[in-house]
Amino acid sequence: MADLTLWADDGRRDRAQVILVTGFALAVAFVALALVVNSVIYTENLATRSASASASDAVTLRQDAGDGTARLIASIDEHHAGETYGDLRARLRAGVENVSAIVRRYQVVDGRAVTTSLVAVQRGAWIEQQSAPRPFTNASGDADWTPVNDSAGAHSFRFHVVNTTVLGGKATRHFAVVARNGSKTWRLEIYSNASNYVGVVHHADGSDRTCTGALPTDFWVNVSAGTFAGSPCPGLGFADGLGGVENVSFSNGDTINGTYRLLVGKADTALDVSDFGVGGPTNARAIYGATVHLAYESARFRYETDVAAVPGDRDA
Amino acid sequence: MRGQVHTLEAIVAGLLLLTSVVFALQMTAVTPLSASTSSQHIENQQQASAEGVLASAVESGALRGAILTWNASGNRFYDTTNERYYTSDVPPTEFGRLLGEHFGSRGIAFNVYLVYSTHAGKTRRARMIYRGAPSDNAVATSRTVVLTDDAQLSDPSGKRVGQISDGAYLMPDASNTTLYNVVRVEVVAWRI
Repeated sequence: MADLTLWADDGRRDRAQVILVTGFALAVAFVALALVVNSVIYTENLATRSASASASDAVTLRQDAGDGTARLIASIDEHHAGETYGDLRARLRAGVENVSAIVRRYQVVDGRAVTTSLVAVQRGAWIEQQSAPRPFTNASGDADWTPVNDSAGAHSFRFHVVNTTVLGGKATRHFAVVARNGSKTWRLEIYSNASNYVGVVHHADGSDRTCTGALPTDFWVNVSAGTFAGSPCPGLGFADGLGGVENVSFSNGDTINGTYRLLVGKADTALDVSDFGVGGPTNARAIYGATVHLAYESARFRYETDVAAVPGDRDA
Repeated sequence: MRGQVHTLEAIVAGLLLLTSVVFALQMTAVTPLSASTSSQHIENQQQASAEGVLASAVESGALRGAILTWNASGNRFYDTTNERYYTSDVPPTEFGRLLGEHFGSRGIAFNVYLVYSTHAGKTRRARMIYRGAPSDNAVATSRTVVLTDDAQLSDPSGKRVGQISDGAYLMPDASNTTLYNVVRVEVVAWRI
């Protein structure tokens, strides 16, 4: 490098050196600036990364565990109703354990440990008229009766109207189902007029909803799924807006004829036996709902909770 | 001689200055907030979007419906040809429509995989929608669906075409209980 002091007497000679030094200074400044900007970028990157990913995974799994258990319960209730509560429980436990084992394998790839286990089973019963079509009356022929009282809930309600000639009219006596929870009521009325079958739902909040179906020979109403005569009818949902069902009663059950099925949250032995029996509606043991324990563990996150699972729990 | 040295120094200084500027510009080219396919914000948004689509499909039952829309006689998904999965088109189901509406119009590619268990307890991964290898900046999200032995297969119109069974469906019955199989639906999305 050139000597500054040697050529200090000549102003033009040191110009290149000044430029060189300035160049160095600028280079250092730019490198420093780059470092600062880079660290800002890194900080920004960290800050914008989603920190809640692991938490949302756990919450999603919780929901999936509830849905999956409810699906198992629904399947067991459909195909094994009437077995002892012990057998039903054993079936559900086996199902939940199988699901748990498979889900654990899926999750372990992502470095997470997940375990679900059955904690409790809530006894329930189907109240049904399944063998042959018949009026919706009780075993002794009462047209106004209460299939269930003081129940923990009710879901999966559907009926099939076979003999439509007995249906009442709007102004005359006609069939109604009433679900109550405390002072709140939900009411579904079924009648026919000149051209249609009509289902009118009176909700707890005072609003009404009418569903209609053209007059064929028979029709299905899946109250829980919200379908009337095969078509979706928004607002039909069983006991919507009640926040639970304590009792369900039928009135004018002689003005309808067919089959039905309703799952209530009460053990079969606690039901009023005089309503059921030969020639009338029957009841069968089933699982109303269950509670499973979910444990979720990842490298930096641990979550445990009990999940309640009731099939069709959006019914009420 | 001196003049040459000075000139050379000036050139070196100029080069240094120039390379410093180039270096500094390189460092500031991409930030997490810059518009690019690897932007952290875009990844976050895609992640949230994919989670949202899956959550709404689970709520409405569309996800279960899409899994069970299976052409048993052709042993593949409906409306697919040589491959058993969808490539350019979305599935003719509610779930397919949801994905197409959500991502298709925004230049986001997506794959959907179904992870299931075999008889022997092994884990398999099948493609439901495959649009190519995801980029490094792809996001993934998943939901778990439980299938029971009485699950019904349906065609794209929603008509039931038969019960799920070994050999007549994509995945085998992995359990001798009420359970049929547990499916993990994975959605992988990335910006094209």
